[in-house]
Amino acid sequence: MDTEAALREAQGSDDGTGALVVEDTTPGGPGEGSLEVGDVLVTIGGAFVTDFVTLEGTLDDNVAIPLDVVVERGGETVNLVIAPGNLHEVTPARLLEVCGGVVHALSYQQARNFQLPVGSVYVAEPGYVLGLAGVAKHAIITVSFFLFSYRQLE
Amino acid sequence: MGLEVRVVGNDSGEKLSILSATLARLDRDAPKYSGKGYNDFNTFYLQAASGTKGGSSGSPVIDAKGRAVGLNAGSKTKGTAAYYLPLHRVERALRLLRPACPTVDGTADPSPADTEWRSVEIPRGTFQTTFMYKGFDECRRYVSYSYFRMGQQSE
Repeated sequence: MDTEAALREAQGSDDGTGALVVEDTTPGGPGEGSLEVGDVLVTIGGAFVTDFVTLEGTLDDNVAIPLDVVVERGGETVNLVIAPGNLHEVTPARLLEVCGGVVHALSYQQARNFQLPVGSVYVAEPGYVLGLAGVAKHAIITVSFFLFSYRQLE
Repeated sequence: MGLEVRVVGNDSGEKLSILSATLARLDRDAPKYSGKGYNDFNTFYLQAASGTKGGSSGSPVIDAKGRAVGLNAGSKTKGTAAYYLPLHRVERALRLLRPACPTVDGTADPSPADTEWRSVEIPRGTFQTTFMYKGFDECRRYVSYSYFRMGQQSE
C-alpha cells in the first residue's frame, strides 16, 4: 500500500484529505538536520500522525525521549530518530533590566519568527543606552558580544 | 462545521457582549498575527464571522446547549473573521491543573483562597518544527518538487 493510501486509511474514510507537512525548522532545534521543509509526516513511534492533536499529544508525552519518525521525502520513505525538546526550556521565564531597557533569552516563539537559534540575547525594549546605540526593539545580540559589552559597563 | 455559536465576553471593552456566528471552518491554519510577535503553531483554529474584536480574547465560544466548543483568540482587522482555539489541549491543561488546588476534588468545599496551592507541571514537547496540514494533492506536489531539486525528471 502506498503512503497516501495508508494515511487516508489512518484518518478514516470521511476525514482523510491531507497530511502534515514540514513548513519550517528552527536552527539548533531538535528537528533541524533531520526534518526538511516539504517532508510529509507519516508515523511517529510507529503510529500514524495525520493531525495536530495527535502530533502535540505525542510530543508532550515524550519530552527528551528519542522517537522513531517516518517521513516521505521526494517519494522516498525516510526513517529518523528525534527526541522532542522541552518547550518550557526554550520559553524564557526571566528577564534582565539593563539601562532602562529589557533583554531576555531568545524564545522559541521569536526564534521561529527570525529563524535563529534559541538562547541569544533578545532586546524586548531597548531603553536609553541601547536606544542611543541604535539597537532597535526585536534586535538580537550575540551572547558573547553582549557579555563583553555588559562587563565594560560595570 | 455549521454549528451556531455565541461568544460571551467583553467585546471592545463593554461590560457584557454576546456575539453570534456560524462555525465556517474547523481546520483553519493557525493565524499569523505578526512577523515579530506571538503566533500559534501546530494547531488548527476554528473560524467564524463573529466580528469579535479586542476584549473578546479568552471568551468561551459556546453552542446552543451552553457547551464550550472553542476559546476566542483573535480576528482579522479588515473583516469579520474570528479565530477560536480548539479545546483538545486546553482540556488537557485544565486536567493537569486540577491537582494544583487540593480542595477541588469534589469532597471538600472549594475555597481556593484558604488553601495552599501546589505547583503542577504541564509537560510540553517540541521538535521546534512547524507543520502545516496540506491536502494530498499538494503533498504530491511537494514530492515532485523534491525530485526536481535532486535533479531528477518530474512531470
